[in-house]
Amino acid sequence: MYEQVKFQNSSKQKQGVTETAQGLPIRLIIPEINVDTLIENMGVMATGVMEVPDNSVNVGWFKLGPRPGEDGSAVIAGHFDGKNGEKGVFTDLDKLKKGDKITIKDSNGASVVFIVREIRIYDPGYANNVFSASESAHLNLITCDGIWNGTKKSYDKRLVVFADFLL
Amino acid sequence: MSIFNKIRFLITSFLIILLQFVFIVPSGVFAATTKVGLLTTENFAVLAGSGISNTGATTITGDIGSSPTSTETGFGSVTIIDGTNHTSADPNDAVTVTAKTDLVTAYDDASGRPTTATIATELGGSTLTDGVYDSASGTFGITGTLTLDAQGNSNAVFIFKTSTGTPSSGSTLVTAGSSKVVLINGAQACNVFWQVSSSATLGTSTSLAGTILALTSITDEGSSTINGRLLARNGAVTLNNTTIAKSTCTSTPSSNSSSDSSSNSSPSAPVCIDTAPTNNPDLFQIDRAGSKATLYFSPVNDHLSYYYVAYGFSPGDERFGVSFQSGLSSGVVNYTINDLNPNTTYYFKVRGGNGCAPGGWSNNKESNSQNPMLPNTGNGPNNGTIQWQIPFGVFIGISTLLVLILQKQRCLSNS
Repeated sequence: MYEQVKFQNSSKQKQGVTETAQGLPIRLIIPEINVDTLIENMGVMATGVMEVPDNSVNVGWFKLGPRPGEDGSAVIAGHFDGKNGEKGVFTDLDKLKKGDKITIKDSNGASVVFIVREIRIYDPGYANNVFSASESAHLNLITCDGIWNGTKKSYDKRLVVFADFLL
Repeated sequence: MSIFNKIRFLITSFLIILLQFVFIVPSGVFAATTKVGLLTTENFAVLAGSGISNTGATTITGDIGSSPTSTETGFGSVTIIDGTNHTSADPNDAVTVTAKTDLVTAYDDASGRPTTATIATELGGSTLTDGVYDSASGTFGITGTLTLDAQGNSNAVFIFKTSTGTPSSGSTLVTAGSSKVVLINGAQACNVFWQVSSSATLGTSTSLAGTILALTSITDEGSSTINGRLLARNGAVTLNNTTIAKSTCTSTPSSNSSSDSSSNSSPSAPVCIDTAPTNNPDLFQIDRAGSKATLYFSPVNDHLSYYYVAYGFSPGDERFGVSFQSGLSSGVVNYTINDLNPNTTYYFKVRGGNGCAPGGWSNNKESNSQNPMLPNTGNGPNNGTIQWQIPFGVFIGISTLLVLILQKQRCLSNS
């Protein structure tokens, strides 16, 4: 069973979320880009980089940050492409538009809905405003973007979709 | 003059020049400017002539007083730390009256200082060192960041005078919203003075260092932070969600000057004869937690009166700095810095210092933000293995089929 955890840092109850407890996020649904997938729990690698799932189908939630629906920015990363060049779960993340809906289902069966606010491109490394604290709930989705660097085995940009909690 | 006298004159001159070299060459830092004597106003954070008004949650560290008009408004939401509200306790009490007299003396001291440089009215974006500054217009403004660089000498003094113009033309100090005064390389707010010959206005969220000595009034438009004092001779001080703490010098290294230059009447510069620490600290660990960073470093082994920590956004960046007094110690030294941005990576370094003689810097050490770096979610585009594997497989398959057909035909023809 997943641990039952009360709202943290939350000054107000939010609609669409279990009244007293919030489960762990288990499913991500984004109809606009045909995403409906499992959410894995991710930490940080020794290099300081956020971990990602070892497959290109599931997405990874940054478990050291807020849960989706809690105050602050919950962060979920997904692969842009797979090991054999196949499409990743977030290949089409850049096709999201302002106002598109993102739904997270948690282990209690509750759903939280976010609305896309904007998309930004970052360089790899540390980024302001992505893993940030705030007094309202946000969801940030991350994938790769830009040009593939075979030596570094990395694309040269990161794409972040910023979404706000739908009251 | 006899030949003997000429020789004696030459030898004496040579010795004087030699002595000057002996004292000047090894000197580290020169402090050309002496502090403005604040006298009893030193204890005050806010001092006014025609009353003090406040809006919002203001915090004042230090004494408060106003004389001859002792009106105070909006003080229900003022928090006073380590200070006495003289106006509240006994309007026009003797302490305030004396401080007001001393304020005139301090003001005149500042305005009478000989100017070392006349600079642009706009101070934002500039970096200044020890000196007495005025502007051709008679006013000063800060939009953005003014950096005051003590160049390693914590006794460096910065005096800004808006007295060149006539008061009637409006000799003011005006800061834009969110403007800052940043102190680096040992500069201290207690050694910064703003002599304003009319009124000073601090834009919202200004971060000011230094003591304002205004002839008329001082106004904070909201949420400013002042590490210093607001001292108004004749007018009012207006506070608005202000945070003000009277600045005190955290380290007062002795300059051990070789000449009697402490007298204000003597313009000669003191010469540093302190001995600098011989070894550099080794900064080996930084623990970040929220907005705090705790630095752990090995101590310097000799000639120490303070440590100075410099930090910024890239290796070698010294845009921020803090010094603290310390004697010699054998164990690991730790020091905590507050008010960092939790999402920002900083680069720290530390050095010891002895009086006016700075020691060498430690290594630069990076302190990552607590948050992780953005993940790498790419495996790269199709690397070509599929493209050649499929045609190769098809080729092998067709070849095998052809061989089988040929063998079959050969079998049939043989039979």
